[in-house]
Amino acid sequence: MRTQTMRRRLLAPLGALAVAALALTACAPGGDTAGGEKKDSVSFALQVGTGPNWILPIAAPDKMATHNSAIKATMWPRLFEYNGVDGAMGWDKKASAADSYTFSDDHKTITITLKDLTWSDGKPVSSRDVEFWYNLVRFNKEKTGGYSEGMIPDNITAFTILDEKTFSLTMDKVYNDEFLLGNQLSLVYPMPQHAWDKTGADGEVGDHDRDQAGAAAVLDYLFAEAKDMKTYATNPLWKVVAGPYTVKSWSDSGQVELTANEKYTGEDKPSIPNVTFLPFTSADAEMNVVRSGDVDYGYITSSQLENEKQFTDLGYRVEPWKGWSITYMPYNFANPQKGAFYKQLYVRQALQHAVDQETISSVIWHGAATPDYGPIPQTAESTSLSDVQKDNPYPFDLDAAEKLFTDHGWKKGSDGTLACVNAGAGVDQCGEGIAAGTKAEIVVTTQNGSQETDNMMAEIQSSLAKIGVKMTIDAKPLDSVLSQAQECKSGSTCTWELVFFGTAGSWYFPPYATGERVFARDTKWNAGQYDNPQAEELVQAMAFSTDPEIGKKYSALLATDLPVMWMPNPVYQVSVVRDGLDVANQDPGASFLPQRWSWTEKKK
Amino acid sequence: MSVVEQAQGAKTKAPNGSRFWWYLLRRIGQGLIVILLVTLIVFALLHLALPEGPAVGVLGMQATQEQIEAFNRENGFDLPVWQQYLNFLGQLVRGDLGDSFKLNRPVADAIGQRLPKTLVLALISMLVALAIAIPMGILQAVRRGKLLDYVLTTWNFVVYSTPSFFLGLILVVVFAQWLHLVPAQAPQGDTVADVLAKPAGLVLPVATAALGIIATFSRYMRSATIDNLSEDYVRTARAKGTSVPVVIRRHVVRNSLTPVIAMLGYYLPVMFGGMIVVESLFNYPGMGLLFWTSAQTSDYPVLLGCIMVIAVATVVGSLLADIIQALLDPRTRGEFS
Amino acid sequence: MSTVTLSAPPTRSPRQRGLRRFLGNRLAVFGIVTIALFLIFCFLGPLVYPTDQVHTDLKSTMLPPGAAGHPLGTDDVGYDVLGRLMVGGQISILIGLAAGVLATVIGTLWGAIAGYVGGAVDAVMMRVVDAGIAIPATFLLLILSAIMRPSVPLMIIVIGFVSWLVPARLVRAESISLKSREYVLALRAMGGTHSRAVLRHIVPNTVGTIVVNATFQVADAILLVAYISFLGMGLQKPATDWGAMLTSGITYTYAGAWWLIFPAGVCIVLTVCAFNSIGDGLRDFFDVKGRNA
Repeated sequence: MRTQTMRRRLLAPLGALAVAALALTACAPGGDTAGGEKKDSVSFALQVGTGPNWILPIAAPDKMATHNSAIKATMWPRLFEYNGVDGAMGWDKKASAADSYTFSDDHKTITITLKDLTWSDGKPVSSRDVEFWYNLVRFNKEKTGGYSEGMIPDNITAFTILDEKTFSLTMDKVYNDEFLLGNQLSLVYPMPQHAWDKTGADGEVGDHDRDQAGAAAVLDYLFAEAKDMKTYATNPLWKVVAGPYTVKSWSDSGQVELTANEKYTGEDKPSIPNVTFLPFTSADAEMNVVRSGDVDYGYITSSQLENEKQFTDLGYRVEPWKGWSITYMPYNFANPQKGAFYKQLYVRQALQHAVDQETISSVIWHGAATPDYGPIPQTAESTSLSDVQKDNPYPFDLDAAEKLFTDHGWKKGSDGTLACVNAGAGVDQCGEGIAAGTKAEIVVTTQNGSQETDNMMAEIQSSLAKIGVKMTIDAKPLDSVLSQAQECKSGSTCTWELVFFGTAGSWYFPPYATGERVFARDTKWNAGQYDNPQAEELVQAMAFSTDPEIGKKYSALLATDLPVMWMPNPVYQVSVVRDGLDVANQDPGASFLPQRWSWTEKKK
Repeated sequence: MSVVEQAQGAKTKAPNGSRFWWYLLRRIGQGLIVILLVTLIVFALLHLALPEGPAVGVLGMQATQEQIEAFNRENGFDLPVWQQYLNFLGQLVRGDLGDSFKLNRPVADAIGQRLPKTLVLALISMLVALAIAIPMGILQAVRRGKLLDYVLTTWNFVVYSTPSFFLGLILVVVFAQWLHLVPAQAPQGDTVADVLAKPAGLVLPVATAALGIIATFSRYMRSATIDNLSEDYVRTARAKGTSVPVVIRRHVVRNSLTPVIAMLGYYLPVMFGGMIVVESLFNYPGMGLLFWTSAQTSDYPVLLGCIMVIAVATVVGSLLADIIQALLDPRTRGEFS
Repeated sequence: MSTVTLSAPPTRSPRQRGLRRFLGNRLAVFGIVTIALFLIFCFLGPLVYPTDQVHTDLKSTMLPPGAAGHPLGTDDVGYDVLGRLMVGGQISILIGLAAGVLATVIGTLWGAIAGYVGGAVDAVMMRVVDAGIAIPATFLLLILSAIMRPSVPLMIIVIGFVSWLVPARLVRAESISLKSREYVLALRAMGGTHSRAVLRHIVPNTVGTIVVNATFQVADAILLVAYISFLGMGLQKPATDWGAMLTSGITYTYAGAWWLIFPAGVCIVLTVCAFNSIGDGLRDFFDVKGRNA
């Protein structure tokens, strides 16, 4: 009897093993997956492209991918960590190195107090470490990725260490609080000066960073070490961390494994000790791995949303990851033939009324896009989002659109296209620079390669046709679109009218969404040369005004003045998350904080 | 069909003896000119279509003007096009295919890692296809006009007329999705060993590639065999009393194989071309998929590198094919038994 | 003793014999019938079954076949699939025919001139052809897709330029063998120009090869139209062709939207098959390459 029971007991698990093995051989994909059968690990699928390839907090200009910056922040917390993991885009104190700050009376000096964090070798994180970063960057500006002239660290006139945990920065002018903290100081990483401040592997640690030559030598040394990805897990330099994680392994194909930092002294302790980042060469490859259940936190293309069930049946839930971005089509106000047409506000308003953002987002993008009515990203709460923008000043209304044209001297011709019959600059006339007989025809230069974008353009073309505006679509590869958008500035030809490069979001913003790189008069990506003095004032003021409402004013003006045609904003990715894994709110800034993820129940 | 015509139109028989070496030299010279023309065509396409270069595409829109200028300086995009071309040729002669923009490694490295896997897939597909196509062609020729011939001809027509990605899709839906017999994705991995370790994943890619090859080659084998069956020497052999199967085995097959082998050399570019579709459909980590992703990310050095590899392979392949044909063809060698 | 009268078999002209062979080739006949049916379907169909292929209808997207008014369902922006097949077919067949003809014309002239002139000119011209063959068509198309998104005329040119290499080779071979024929030598002796020789004698005598090859070119062109969409160079909506329909449909494979995939795919297969069969039959008709192919 005993032997029989034993045999039965053995057979059951053996049988299960055989079935599982069979299933695995039938559906198993290739080697790079770390399914994580244990509760103490989680696997995350990286977006397609170059894998994580830089560990040093100061990045070379071509090593600034978001995943690089997110991974290093788990080891070297930023001075001010700004993200939207709580649902609102703001200061994430728990993940920051700074504990508090105060401004001086003239608002030009900010005194910052650090938290009681300790480096993994026992030394405390101190003001000297912040100064170390500051010195390296200011003496090596051109080598540093993300450096922009006039911005940090150029705008710091004095760095004063008050004590081990307190220091103050004197800025060159008064800055808006959100701008200073969210866009400038959020780029600062305290770095272990006591371990890294040397010029060679066998060099002495000293205050080399305090002069130009020394700082250059130190950065060269650190860059050289950082170029050797194979040693990321073993090099003693990279073992000096203050954040919740440290590197366990890092392959040059992009697979990275992090493990919990045992010496972490902060309050942002990770729930899941082991995190694996998996690289993929294509979205299809990644989706196949999702389908075989070998990744915990992955993504799918938006067209798969048509059949969510295939993933929910496998034990995933679908969570679109909205990005901190806006999507739009610039109008070319500098176009010699059509500039005058687009300069008329009523024209832009009519065109905006013809874009059914809600339906396009839910049907064409299958829910993987959200409406965007103005210059401030609407994918998380923020202090800059005005109600005017949020409530959509130009809802989808074909009658209103047509009426705007007919009220201004346009009439539908026999071919169904509106033509200007009442030319002139009067109140109910077409407007200055628009000759009589001009037809309402627009040309949209858009990027190809995306079915959703193609469909969206076909839909807008269809709506516009209904009100009498003839839209021609000129689709080209993204590179051509981007270079055509710049052609008016170099003076050769100037033929484009509207241009679209927003299949993956037109513009991603820093935490405080200032528009100086997109809507300021002379900036490169104000491709259509939008020029409104009132807007210009607000764009500049956003960085320098202490008015807490300045963002909202900017938001309201641009939402109504339509420097561009606002378009549905595609999500950053459509995530699929295994049931039982809580990933908090997905950061619109496209960063990830694995220390906030947790398994809420036993994995099946 | 077209490839058949192509090879037939191209046949130039290799002579024997000392003239052979002159012939070889001449062919190598021609090959070099061809390779040069290839570089010209592709370089022109890439650089003239986008005069400012791929800087913005590679670095992203958020790149500052300084970053773009640095990129252009580093990669020579600030030089005039003809100078860039000469630099490129200079690099090629030294065997340097340049560095990839997006992959963080030299092009030769990236191709070197991917090419063997594509070759393995191509080789397996070719062997499987020929193993089926050659007997099929002979069978069709022998049973010419009968039902079997019609059925197989029709089948081959249909396969030949189907876009390979559609064919592959049908195979995936039927065999992977519905019947769960094989995985929908090819095995992943960096080395050939990784890929061969999971043969189940190779079934569908090989099947998709092989079906197309079978359609072409069996047809060709059929017509070559029919031609040979009516040749004088066959009638003579039969008159001598040798039975039909023996005749086929001893003479017809050998003579029919010759043009087929000749065609293999010219089939190389078609083979590679087909690999793009098969590899992207099944996510097979070979050179075709590398080319595909590089085209989408404007990774010009990789694109140029892949084309050069294929061009060289084609030139060498067609030369070998002609030589082998000369060696095999008994009529050229002036003997038959 | 009985007398057996032997009557000579009725003599037929080569044309009649060719026609007999053509009609005897059942696949060829099937080909002609299929093409005729498709032409009627694509060009006359919209008159009988008009659909709006320009305006989207976001309220009726992804409807399966059998939904009200949509026998083959709708696609992801609401276009009726059956109507779209007709419109797409017009473009596919148009591009196929035009590109096939273009490839044949360019290839024929190139090959005829190269073969006739011979020498260095021939060598250079053929090296260009070799270079074209050494770059696989799909690779070239993929590079082009990174550079442009074509319109219908541009697609015809692109496909034509990828396909002219084969006719060039063929015609050159024929041209070489023809140029030493007596009537050409006679023409030259009488003072005829080279171009007269090429146009009046070489080209017409290769007509058989050319026409057969042209038919295969059309078949290949229609296939290439499908590949072009797959490689990312498809037409911008609302214009479409079968290849674009097939490629868009494939993204919905796992959603089970078979009506977006198979109708277009089957149309491509049938049409290409038909042209290939006709080409095969024409080969019998012209007695090209012997009676054997």
